[in-house]
Amino acid sequence: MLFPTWTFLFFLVVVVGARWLLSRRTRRQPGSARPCAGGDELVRAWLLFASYVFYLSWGPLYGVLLAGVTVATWAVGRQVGDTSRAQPIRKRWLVAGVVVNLGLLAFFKYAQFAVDQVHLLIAPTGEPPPALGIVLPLGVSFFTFHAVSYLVDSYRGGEVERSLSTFALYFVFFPHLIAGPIVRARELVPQLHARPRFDPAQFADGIDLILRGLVKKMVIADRLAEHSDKVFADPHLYGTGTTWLAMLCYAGQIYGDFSGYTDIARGASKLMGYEIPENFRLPYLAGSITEFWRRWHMTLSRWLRDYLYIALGGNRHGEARRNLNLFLTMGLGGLWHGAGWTFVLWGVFHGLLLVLHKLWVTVTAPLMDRARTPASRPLRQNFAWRIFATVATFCLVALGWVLFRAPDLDTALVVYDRLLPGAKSLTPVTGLAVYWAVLLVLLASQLIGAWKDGKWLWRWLGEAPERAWVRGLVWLLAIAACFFFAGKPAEFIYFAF
Amino acid sequence: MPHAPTDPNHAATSPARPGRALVTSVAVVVVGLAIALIAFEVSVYPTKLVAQSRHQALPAMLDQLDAPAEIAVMGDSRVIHGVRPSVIANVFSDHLGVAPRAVNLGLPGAPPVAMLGFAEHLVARTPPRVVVLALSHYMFSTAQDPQNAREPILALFHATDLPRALLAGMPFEEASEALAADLFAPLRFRSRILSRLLEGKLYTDDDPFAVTLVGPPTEPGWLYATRVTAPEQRRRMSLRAEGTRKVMNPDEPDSAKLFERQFGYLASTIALLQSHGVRVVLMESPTASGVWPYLSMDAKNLYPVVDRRIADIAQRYAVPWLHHRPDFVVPDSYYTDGDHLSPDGAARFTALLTHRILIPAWRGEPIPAPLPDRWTRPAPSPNCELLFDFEATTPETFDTPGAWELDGDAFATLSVTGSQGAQADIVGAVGYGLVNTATAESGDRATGSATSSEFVITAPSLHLKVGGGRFPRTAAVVLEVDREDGERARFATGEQSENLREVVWDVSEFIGLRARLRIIDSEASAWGHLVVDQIEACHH
Repeated sequence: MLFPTWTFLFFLVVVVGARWLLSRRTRRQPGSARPCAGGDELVRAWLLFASYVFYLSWGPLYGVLLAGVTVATWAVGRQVGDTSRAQPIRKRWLVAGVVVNLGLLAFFKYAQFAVDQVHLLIAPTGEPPPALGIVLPLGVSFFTFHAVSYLVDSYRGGEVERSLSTFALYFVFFPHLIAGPIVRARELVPQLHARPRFDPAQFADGIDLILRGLVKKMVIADRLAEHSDKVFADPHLYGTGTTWLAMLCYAGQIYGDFSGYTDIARGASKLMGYEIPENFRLPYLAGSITEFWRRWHMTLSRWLRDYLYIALGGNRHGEARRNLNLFLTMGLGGLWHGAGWTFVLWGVFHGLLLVLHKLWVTVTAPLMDRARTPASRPLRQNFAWRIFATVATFCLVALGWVLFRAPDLDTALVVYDRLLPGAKSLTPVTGLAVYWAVLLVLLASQLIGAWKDGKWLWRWLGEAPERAWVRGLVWLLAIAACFFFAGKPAEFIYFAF
Repeated sequence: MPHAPTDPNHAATSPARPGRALVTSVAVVVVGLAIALIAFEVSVYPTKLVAQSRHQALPAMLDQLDAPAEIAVMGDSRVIHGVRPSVIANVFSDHLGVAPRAVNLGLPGAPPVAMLGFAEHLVARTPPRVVVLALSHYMFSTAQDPQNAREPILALFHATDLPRALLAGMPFEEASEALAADLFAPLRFRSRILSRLLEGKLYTDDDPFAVTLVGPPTEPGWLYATRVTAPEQRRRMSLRAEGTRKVMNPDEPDSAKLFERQFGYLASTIALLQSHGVRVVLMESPTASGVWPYLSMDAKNLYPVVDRRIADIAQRYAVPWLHHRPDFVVPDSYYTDGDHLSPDGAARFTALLTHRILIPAWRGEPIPAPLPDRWTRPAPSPNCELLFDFEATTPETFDTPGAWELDGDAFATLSVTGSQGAQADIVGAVGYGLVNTATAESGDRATGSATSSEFVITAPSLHLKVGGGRFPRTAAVVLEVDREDGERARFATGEQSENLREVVWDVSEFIGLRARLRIIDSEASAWGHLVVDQIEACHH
């Protein structure tokens, strides 16, 4: 059940409608002004049921696995968070829980990769590696990370959820289940316990987000994918300009795809009265690679920082160790995205950029602080400098996406080769104007979003009821854009991770 | 806790009367969509856009017929070009004195889901009396491009049809799309509107895209396919085979699901039609023999599986399944390419179809039993070599290429099965195929000749089975040998009977000479026909 499909729309209408009807029902007992006992248990049960329907719609195979992980994590979490127990015992439970979850992830996601690598080392050339036939359960990378974050937070003194149904709903809540955002228990569980009233403003925000996400996915990502897919399938056929466009298209595609998914997830969540954290904040306008990771897949960056980088020692043991930790964190972060050397290299590439940026800041900080523009402002705050830094950061990120997108290292090298000046196209290429137009629209939307942090538009639209019709027109415009300009529907990229 | 502090926008967007604002915004969307829908419906574009897609145009054509369709033939583009409703009406009129309204409901590609969609459409009105489902293996064994596969789903299904479609195996995704398209009509035309918009031609007064997709009023649904030269025909066959859709792999889970779904649609189509009293017949689509060599091995390997599955469904619903039928063979020369019959070929094929299937089905009579899956030739008699058995009707060789030269209207094909039209039953034939110069259309009036390629006489006797009229000069099987006096070295006729008699020619004096056989019928009076079968060279 992909988000930009009618099935999901009908599903969402039913789930949201029933959610608020049940909420009204549980709010008051007949003849009484007081809410009935048990609160919104019925609502939670309904949403849990809906989440499993959503997950099982992809295939029933791994529903049992998901349920098993849910119950096991909840049970282990209770042991880990039981402060009446001795800390070593809690730690043992924590280690067991984390190992089991990461073990599952390793088995489903990396077993075949590991076998392939061992085979490469020991088997004769040309013999194909044995196929394990393991099918990757949808969303496994996300729900295992949810589990680890819950267990570690419980150990660190976070709230331990006593109710299995509430925990299960937090764990499998369908907006974030397949591809995030990676939500911490403390962000969602209190909301699940609360009894939110229907809030029209929040509901309208939800529609805003869903439509924005649909436009990003259907109009931008799926359309740009047409060109990037073509070039990455056979890169040696294309010249320098076409390959650069393909790289830019992929940068636009992955942003539109993933941030579009997140917008729809957050919007759907809002329609049900819950908030889940944002995942993207105009990442391609970042002025440095460090800033990029504060804006791109923010919940993953946060997870890697809190549960991996800090666990490795963070920056507490000197610069060399910090740099090593950055490499390791980003390399493992790359591997998390997929079982392949291209992903590892992509992660390492970003680790290297982060280290270089830190060195750059250390070395140039005094200089940058001293350097002044003619208007006597520090160079760092200069508009032209900001543009230069943003463009440079974007180019590096886009070059990194080649590793991310290429099916193998050889293809990536061919693409890099074709990016160099002078590569001639071996096939006629036409109809590229539409992709440039989409990229320009994407750039314009980013700049509009950056102006006053994007709030001016939504503030203006939302602050006065008499302007609600304008908001309606914006919605209509978004619907029309999806109707007229949607590319061929495709799965979200991050569903594969 | 409706608002978490993590949402930076939210605090800024809470208006004083949010409920009213939300209702206003939603109302703007609803009104806007309603206006768009009404404007679209009252404009000329629905008509124009419907005319640009056969999927859309055929249901509209059915609605506009002056009388409900009584006979419908569904299938792929082979049906579009191969079934002529006017011929059906004429043959019915000649034989039964009625001219039922027939329609050609062929669709390009025709995935089985399209048949279910049409069946829904037909039974929602006055159901026809007979529906023929012309099946091709590839409909079941290959996957269409998803974008193309959606066209029949969006065009043919309405909300009320969807429960049955879901039970037949339609995925929720597709059913939801069909439901949305039924609620909001422009969705049916989305891709077409977009391409027209990008070409800047949506708003031209004269619609350059309006093409006749449903045929002339006298031939509802049939489309003319122009004949092409033999080299062009070969080129097209090759191109079509290269463009064959992706062959499914039943060992791969997604592919297997899709494969299974096709048979679910077929079974549901039959069940739906039967529940409305429609007589259903399954038939193999007309195909030229020449396309076979171009098919991939994957496709060929899957065909027996498809055959078996269709046979199972036919048995379950007790419907005839006519495939590998020699009496449906139209020579390759009547095809414009590997798949599509020329207008003449379509007339011949439709006449055969009407005689063999439609008239018996209309009358409620039994339709000739299906043939076995694998056609096996009867063995020649002991101590004999087979010269011609007229059974060359496997998919690999629908006709006997190059072996016989045909001339005249007595020979739509060299070989047919059994009696034609009002002819009495033929007794004594070997196997299914034989030569019969009486035709369904013209009976004894049909005339023509068939001349075999040359062969060398190597045995002392020739054995053949001959029936029909006794007209030694005008309707006979003649042996011509390569000798001065060999023009009519031997001949044989029938004995005014459809019982085939065994004729033995002593040809020992011609051993070593080259010879050829001619089947001549220039007799148009009563019994003016010949039936010939099983010609063997024997050493006794």
